[in-house]
Amino acid sequence: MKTKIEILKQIDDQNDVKWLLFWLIGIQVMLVWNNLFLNSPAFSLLKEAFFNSFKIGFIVIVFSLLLSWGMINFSLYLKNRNNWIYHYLFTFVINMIRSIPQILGVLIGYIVLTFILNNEMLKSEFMVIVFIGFVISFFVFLEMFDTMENRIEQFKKNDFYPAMLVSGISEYRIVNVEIFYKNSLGYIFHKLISMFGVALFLQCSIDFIISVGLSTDVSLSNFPITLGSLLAKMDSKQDILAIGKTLTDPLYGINLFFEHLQGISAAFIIVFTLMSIFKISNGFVKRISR
Amino acid sequence: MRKKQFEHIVSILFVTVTLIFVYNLLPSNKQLDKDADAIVTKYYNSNLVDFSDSYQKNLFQDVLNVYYPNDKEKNQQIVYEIDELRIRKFTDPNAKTGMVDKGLTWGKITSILSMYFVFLFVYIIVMIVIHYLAQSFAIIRFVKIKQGRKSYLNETISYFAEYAKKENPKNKKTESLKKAGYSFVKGVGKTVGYIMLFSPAYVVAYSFKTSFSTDSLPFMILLAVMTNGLLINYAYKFYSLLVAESKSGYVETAIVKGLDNNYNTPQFAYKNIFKFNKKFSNHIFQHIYLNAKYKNTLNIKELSALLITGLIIIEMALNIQGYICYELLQNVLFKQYDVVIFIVLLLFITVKLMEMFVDYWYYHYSKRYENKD
Repeated sequence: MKTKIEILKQIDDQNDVKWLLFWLIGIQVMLVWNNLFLNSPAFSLLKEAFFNSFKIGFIVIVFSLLLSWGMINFSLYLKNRNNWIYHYLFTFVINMIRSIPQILGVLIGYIVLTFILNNEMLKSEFMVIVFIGFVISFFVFLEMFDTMENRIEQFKKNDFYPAMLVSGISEYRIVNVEIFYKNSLGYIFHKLISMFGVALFLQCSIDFIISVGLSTDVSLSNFPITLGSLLAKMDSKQDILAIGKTLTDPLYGINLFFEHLQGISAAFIIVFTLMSIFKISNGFVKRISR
Repeated sequence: MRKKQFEHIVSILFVTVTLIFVYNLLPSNKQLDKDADAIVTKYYNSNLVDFSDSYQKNLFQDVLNVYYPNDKEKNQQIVYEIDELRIRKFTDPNAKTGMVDKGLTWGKITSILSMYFVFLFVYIIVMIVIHYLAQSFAIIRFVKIKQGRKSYLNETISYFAEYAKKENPKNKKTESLKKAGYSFVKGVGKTVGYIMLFSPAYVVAYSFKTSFSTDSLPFMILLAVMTNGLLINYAYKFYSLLVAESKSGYVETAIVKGLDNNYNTPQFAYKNIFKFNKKFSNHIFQHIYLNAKYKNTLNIKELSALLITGLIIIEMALNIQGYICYELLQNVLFKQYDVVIFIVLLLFITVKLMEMFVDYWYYHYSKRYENKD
């Protein structure tokens, strides 16, 4: 008994591990429950939406990492060329992207995607998912870019950076190997975790908006189903509306777990995942700063 | 400072000019009508044939084949295009009634600007409320940790361990079990609160839709503050700054020199923490708080863009008529891209103006904090 309690306390002290376990257990319980009580077509749809949303999330973090890493090196290249006009232009463009509200940028990207789909330029569902991932990453990668830049700035303040420069080590090696690879992997990983949350949130929101507001214009059959578009379906919306009914009729709450599973499960996955990611990411940053 | 403000202005000008250029590239509705096949339109408007009647339609094609026997394929295409035109008359959103002002007319601009001012009003209110609440929540968390409070789960486990000890008397065991239950319930309550804070606005809005009207302005403000993870993320950022600041050298020196470092005093009661003008006189936390507040200024820039995203999501997802982002979505739907460009420009300018304001504020704050005044 004592050992078990000690293990539990140890897990409680490590917030990232604790919430990762919570998330895994929560999602497993939900899937088992849905397997028992949700009709099989809706359950398949839910699983497909879940996997598609997570696929897009992973693609976003991969693209964001590549984009920000590429941009950092490009910025370094421009600085080394001592051409301030190019560097100023680069900073100007980066700051402009930063000022575009992410959701607007992604919405414009979806309009472009609709045009591409209507002209049958993209046919495979996987390529559509990759395109969506790219569009989202284009408007969120700056978070990673800022983290990388902050790490470089922090190391520049130490003797470490100029000492290596005067030793004849290339600036690219200092930044990519000494700073990023040897000293910043934890910070980069932490940012990737939180960006996964941002990507999931943006993707679900835009899919919901498009499904609710643009359904006559955008042929949803061409878009892969995601948690956002699943939540926007009429029956899912009815399920969410049922939550409000329990405020006036609390006994009706029992029905939520049997009759309104599709919408409730989609909403649960989104909210629970966002909350868990926040906790995991903060727990992780606490661990690396110890 | 001037360089930064100049950059913002250039950025606004650049985007404005680019969007005006894109606007001029867009074909207008009249232009689209001109491009329609003149022959098809001529036959369709002739009123000699009822194209909804398949007999008359086939007869028309036969007549065309008699007059133009060498263009049978072309004749078939004309009939096909007339069919398409008839369908478009019913399905094309541009042909729908209700869209009285097509394109960016003066009336439309006035109506959009009035919506924009409502949007700005909501935006400023939400910004102030989030800024104030986030700081208050961050301070509560910081103080609780300084007071040595454990997490509710940890408390529950500890009380449960007390209960499980065989050597404890029965009444102590019952007391521990009660406390474990109480901590567990508080933990569940906190989790429900977290769920609300992390929920996307549309999930919360639809959950309450059957109980009361969700289309009102106060509800929109409440949604913008409490959902989309904005408040919690911003509060956590401020909390991180408080923690970082509390580890600074000057804090340790001040404590060694005898400045009050006790967090179990009445000045850390909720009513003091929630005051708009927070003061913790003669306590080290006053200095931690002021320095964290100064460093937090630049986070407002990030919050401003995220808040606009949040408000856009609320207005679009809830389809609240008469609001600028609903108008934006409707105009995307009706392919009125000139109106879309105008609204996007307004939103971009809002973010830029906020950034200019924050940079200006930070500059003056810096002068005071870095003794340059």
